[in-house]
Amino acid sequence: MLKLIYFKSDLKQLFREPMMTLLFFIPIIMAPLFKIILALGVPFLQRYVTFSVEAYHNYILAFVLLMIPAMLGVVMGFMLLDDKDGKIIELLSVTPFGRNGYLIVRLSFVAMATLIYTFYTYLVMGLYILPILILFFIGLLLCFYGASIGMIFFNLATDKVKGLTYAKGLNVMLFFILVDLLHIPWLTFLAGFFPTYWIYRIIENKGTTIPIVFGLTVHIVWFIILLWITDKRKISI
Amino acid sequence: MTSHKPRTTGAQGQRLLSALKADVLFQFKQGFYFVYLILSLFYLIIFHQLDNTWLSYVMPVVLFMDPSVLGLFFIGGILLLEKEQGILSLIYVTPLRVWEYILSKVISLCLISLMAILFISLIAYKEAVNYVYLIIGVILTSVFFTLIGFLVATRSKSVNDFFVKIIPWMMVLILPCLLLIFYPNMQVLGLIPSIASLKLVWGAYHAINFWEFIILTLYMIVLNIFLLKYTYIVFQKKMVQEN
Repeated sequence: MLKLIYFKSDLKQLFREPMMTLLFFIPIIMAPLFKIILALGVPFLQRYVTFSVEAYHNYILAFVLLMIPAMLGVVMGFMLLDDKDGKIIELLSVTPFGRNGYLIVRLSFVAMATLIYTFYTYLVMGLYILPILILFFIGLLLCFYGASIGMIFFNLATDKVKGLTYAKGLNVMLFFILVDLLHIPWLTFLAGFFPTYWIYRIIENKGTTIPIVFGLTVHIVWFIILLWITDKRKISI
Repeated sequence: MTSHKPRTTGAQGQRLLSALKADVLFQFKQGFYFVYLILSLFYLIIFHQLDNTWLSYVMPVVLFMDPSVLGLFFIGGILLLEKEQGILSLIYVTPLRVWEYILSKVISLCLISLMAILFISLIAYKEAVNYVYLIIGVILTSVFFTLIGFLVATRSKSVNDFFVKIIPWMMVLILPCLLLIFYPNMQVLGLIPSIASLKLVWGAYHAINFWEFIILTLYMIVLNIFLLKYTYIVFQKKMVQEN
């Protein structure tokens, strides 16, 4: 019951700030927009290139799916920064709900939205066929990724300008979905430590055990380390 | 506001230089340089895998879309953070003039754009590049987008409000560039500032006609001067006087 109240409060905060609302609902527009761009752009591109763009649908799907937690993670990061500025975390830490309860609610809020948007984006894009269980698994990993982005953002950024800088920097992780195209062994090895690479590999290998196991491990390790750092830093209280 | 401040011509350059130093230091501390170094390295890795023909198309577009227009976003964050921290109110009690304040922000962000673009282009592009064209193109592009961001930030209440307002601007400015794909030779498109900017950056890699370069450069200079004056008026009126 208590948590439901906090979810409602999250929704209120989300709608109070037009920027949060915009970022939160961009995934709804993003999937059809990409679909339109592909429908118009691919036939045009095919006139000039000899390769088939269809061979790269897995990369496109991985990119669009990863954009969801990347954006929602930033939304959460901004909400956490707002709460930090408004001393809300300080206030909640002395209530029975506590600081950890606050973090759990925030993280679950982003996780739930990410999961819903993952299915929505996959269905709207209709680019690449994935078994339903694999899609659900990818959705779960994206939830961890979104929460991790929010925590990185929150731990590193002391103000919104820094937040903006790190949001830009965190986009670098999206490059890792392309590393298999580059054929650079050290870069592929490096990419293996980042969650984004494994999302692509799971999409590419559809149910092969190794990417699933490695993907899950990397996402959980990132999540736990970030949770530990967030807990250790006590969010400047 | 500026009329109340003493006019010492020799000190003007010194004040601007000091403000510029402070802005560069602030941006360095905020991690702008670090983030753009990492981004540049990733661009280099990707560009290294492309052959020169592909690179001549991809590089100017990427350099235009990312490092050239970085000021559009970052200026909002910087300006509104300074507003929240009350720094803008302090301009009243310093000899720094509004002109110098605006110019310092614009130049400092332009420096990051220029550094990132030259770093990427000098390392990744092996064919001939007209660096005079590239530098002029990047400076004019960066100044234009930073001033647009400045104007939007001046009319925003908070950083969040700025982002809501800047997204439509970004779409209005960037989306017309897609027209160049379908009508690459339609000269009238150069009247759209973002297309004129893209043509200047593109021209450095594709040996743009000299007179076209001159016309686009003059057009962007006039536009930037007008925008700078307008930004000055709006900024002075809306922010400094409000404070």
